[in-house]
Amino acid sequence: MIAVSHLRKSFGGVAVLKDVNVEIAKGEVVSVVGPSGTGKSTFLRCLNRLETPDGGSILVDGVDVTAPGTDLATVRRKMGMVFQNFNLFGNRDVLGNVTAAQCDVLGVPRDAARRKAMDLLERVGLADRAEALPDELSGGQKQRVAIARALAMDPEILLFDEPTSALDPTMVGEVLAVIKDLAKSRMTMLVVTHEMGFARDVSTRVLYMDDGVVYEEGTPDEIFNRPQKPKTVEFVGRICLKQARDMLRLLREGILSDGRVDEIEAQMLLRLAEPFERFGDAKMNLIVSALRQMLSDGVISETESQQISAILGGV
Amino acid sequence: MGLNSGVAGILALFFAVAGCSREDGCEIRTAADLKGRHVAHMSSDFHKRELVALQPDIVFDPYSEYSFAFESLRKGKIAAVSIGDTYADVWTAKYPGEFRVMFAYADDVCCFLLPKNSPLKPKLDAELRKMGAEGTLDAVYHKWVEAAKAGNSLELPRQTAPSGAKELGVACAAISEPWCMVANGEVVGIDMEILTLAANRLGLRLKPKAYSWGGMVDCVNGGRCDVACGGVYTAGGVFPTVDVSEKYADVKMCILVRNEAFGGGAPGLTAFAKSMKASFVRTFVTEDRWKMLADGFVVTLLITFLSALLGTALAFPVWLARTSRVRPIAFCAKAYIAILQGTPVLVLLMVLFYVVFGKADVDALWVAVVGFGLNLSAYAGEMLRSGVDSVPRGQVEAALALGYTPRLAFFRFVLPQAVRTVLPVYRGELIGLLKMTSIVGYIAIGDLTKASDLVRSRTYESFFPIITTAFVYFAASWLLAFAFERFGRRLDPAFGRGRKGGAA
Repeated sequence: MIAVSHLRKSFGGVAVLKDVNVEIAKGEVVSVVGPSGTGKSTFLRCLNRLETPDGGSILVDGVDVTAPGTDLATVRRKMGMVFQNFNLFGNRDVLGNVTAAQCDVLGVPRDAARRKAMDLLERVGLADRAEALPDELSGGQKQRVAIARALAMDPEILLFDEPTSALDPTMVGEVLAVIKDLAKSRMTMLVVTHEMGFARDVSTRVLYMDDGVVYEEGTPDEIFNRPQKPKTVEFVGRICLKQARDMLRLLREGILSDGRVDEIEAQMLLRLAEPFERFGDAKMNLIVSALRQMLSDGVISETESQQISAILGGV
Repeated sequence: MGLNSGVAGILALFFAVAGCSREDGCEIRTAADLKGRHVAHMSSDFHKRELVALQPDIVFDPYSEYSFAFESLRKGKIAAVSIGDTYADVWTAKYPGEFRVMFAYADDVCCFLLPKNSPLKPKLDAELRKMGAEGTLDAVYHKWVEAAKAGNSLELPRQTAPSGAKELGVACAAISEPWCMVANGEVVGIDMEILTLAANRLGLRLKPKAYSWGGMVDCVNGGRCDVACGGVYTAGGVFPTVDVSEKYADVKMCILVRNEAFGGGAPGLTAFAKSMKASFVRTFVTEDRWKMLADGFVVTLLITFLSALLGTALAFPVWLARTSRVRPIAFCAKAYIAILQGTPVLVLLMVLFYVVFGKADVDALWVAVVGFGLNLSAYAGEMLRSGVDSVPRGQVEAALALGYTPRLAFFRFVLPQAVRTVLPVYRGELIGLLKMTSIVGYIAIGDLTKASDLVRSRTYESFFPIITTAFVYFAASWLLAFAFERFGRRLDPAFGRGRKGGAA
C-alpha cells in the first residue's frame, strides 16, 4: 500500500533522513521506535507531505506523492494523522472538530457529518463531551477527539506521531486503549512511539530507526527479545534496564518496606532481575549475584539482607 | 495652534472653574501697571515687541483662539488681553460693563493673503482701492461691527457671477467675528462681504471654506486656495511665502481689561441659572447652532466609519506584505508600518492634503479618510500579525493533514481565533480613531470639534460647547465599545451553547 524508497530529508545541512526504505501492507500495525532525533517524526511527516522530501520516492497505492504537481489534498485525505500535541481547532467544539473536515473537504451534508461524528465520539468514549471546547478537555480526552477527527475522513491509513508523549502518565492508558481497539479492527496504522510495551503488544511489525535509516526491522519478538544489530541491542537493553529498575523500585517500596529481604522476596527479585543480566549493567549484575549467593546456602543473614537492600536502594 | 486648541480650551476651562490665581485688573491704568502681569495675545499677532517696549516685564500668554482669551479674561485668569480694537468694541458692547479698553498702543491693517505671485493680486488690489475710494469698505466694516455688537448676523450680497463661472477659492479662518465667522451654516463677515463684492466685479464665483487659523495659513502657503482671510493683521509681519493684498481696514491694537467695578448683577442661584440658560440658548438655539454641532457629529462618525473600513481592509495586504518571504516586500511593509506609527496623524493629513493631493481637487473628507485609513492599516496589520502568530501552528498542520488547502485552513481556523485574540486591542484602536478625528478641522472639515470651535468663536463661551463635545465623544466611544462586546461574544466558540444544549 505504501512503498518508501531512498527517502532523504535534511534541515539546514543536517541530514535527518539519509536513506529510508520501507513497505507497509494493508492491515499492518507498524511501530516506529528509536532514540530521539533520529528522524522518526520527520519520516511520518514526509508520508503525508507536511514535509517535502529532498529525494527518494513515496508510492501510495502506486502513485508517487513526491512527484511535482501531486494533489496534496487528495494524498492527505487517504492518510489520517494524530499529533503529539493534539492540535484540536480552538474555535470549534468537540463535535465541530470532528465534523469540520467532513463538511469543508468532503462536502458531506451537515446532518450526516454530525451523525458520523457522534458515532465516532461514541467509539472513543466521548459522546457526552460533544459540546465541550478543546480547552475544557484533559489531554487524554483531547487525543481521543483528535483520533475521532482523523477517523471521520475514512482514511486508508492512520499516522500517529508520538500520540502519548505529551500526556500525563495517568492518561496514557485511555489513548492506547483506543489505538489498540483500532488495531483489532484491522486499521492500517503507523505509530511513532516511546511506549515499548504498546509497541510489543500491539504491532505486527517494529521498525527500529537510528541515524536517519531503518536500522533494523522485524516482529516485536525479534526486535525486543532477539535484537541482532549492536545499536538495537543497546537501545532495547537501555529500555529493559529502565523498566527493570522501575519494577525493582516499586518492589522495594512495596514488599521490602521492613528494610530486610526474606527468602520469598529474594526469589521474586531474582526472577525479575535475571533476564537483564545479559545487558551487562553493573548494578543489576551485583543484585543478581548477591541474590544467588543468598539463596544458595539457604540461610539469609542479617548482613546479607541489608547488603541487598542497600544495593536496591541505589537502583 | 489648531491641534492644541482643544487642550488649551479644557485647561482654560479648568482654571476658570477652579478659579485659581485670580488676576486683578482694577488698578491697571497704564502700560507700567502691566509689570509682572499675565497678558493674553494671539499667537499670530506681531505686536508683542511694541508692548514690550512700553513694559518689558509682561508675562505673555499666547492664545490660539479669541474665545479662549475672552473666557480667561472674564474669569480672571489673566489681567488683560492685547487685541484689535474691532474685537474690543464688539466684546464691550456685547457684554456691557464687563470690560474696559485701557489704551491703544499700535496701528495695524487688515489684508487678504494670496499665494506667492498670484495673478489675482493686481486685480484684487485694484478692486480694493476702488472700493476704498467709494467708501464701500468703511460702510461694510461699520455695518458688520454694529450687527455683531447687537448680537446679530447679516446676509451677504448675492453672487452675480453665473454658477459655471471660474471659482475663487477662499480659505477662511472663520473664528474671528466680525471679520469672518460661520452663521446659519454659512461663512459670513466683513471679509466675506468685501470678497463677494470684489468677486462679483471680477466675474468670479466665491467658494469659501472654513479653517482654523493654522489651517488657513497652511492652505495659502500650500497654494490650495486663491485667497485667504479672517481678519488678518499684516503690518509689521514678514511674509516670505505669501503675498499680501491692499489693506481693507485700519485697526488699532489695544489693551482690554476687566471692569472690576462691574458686579455682574445680583449674585445667587437664580442669577446663575439665568446666565446658564442664556448661554445654553446662545450655544445651541441661536442661529440653530445645534444643527452645526449635529452635522459635525455626523461628519465625525462618517470619517471614523469610512477610515475604519479602509484601514481594516488594508490591514490584510499590510500583513501579507509584512510576513512575505520576499525580503524587499517585507522590508517595504516594515518601513511603511514604522513611518505611519512613528509620525503624528496630523502631519500625515497635512502631507496628504497639501502635498500629495495639493493640486488635485479632492474633497478634504476623503483626504481625512485616506489619512486615518492608512494610519489604522499600519496598526491593524501588526495586530493581525500578532493575532495570527498567537494561533498554534499545529492547528494549521492538522487542517492540512485533513485535506484543507492552506487558504481554507486560514479562513476557517486561524483568522477567527486571531480576530478573537486581537479584538480588545482593535476596539481600543477604533475608539482612539474616533477621538483622533477631532484634528480634521485643520484641513477645513466641519467635524464635531470644528463645529464646537465655530460655535465658541461666536458665543465667546467654552463651557457648553466643550462639555457637549466631550460628552458626545464619550457616548460614541461607549456605544462603540458596547457594540464590540456584543460582537466579541458572538466570536466566542462557547456562544449559544445554552440553546444548542437545550435542543440536544
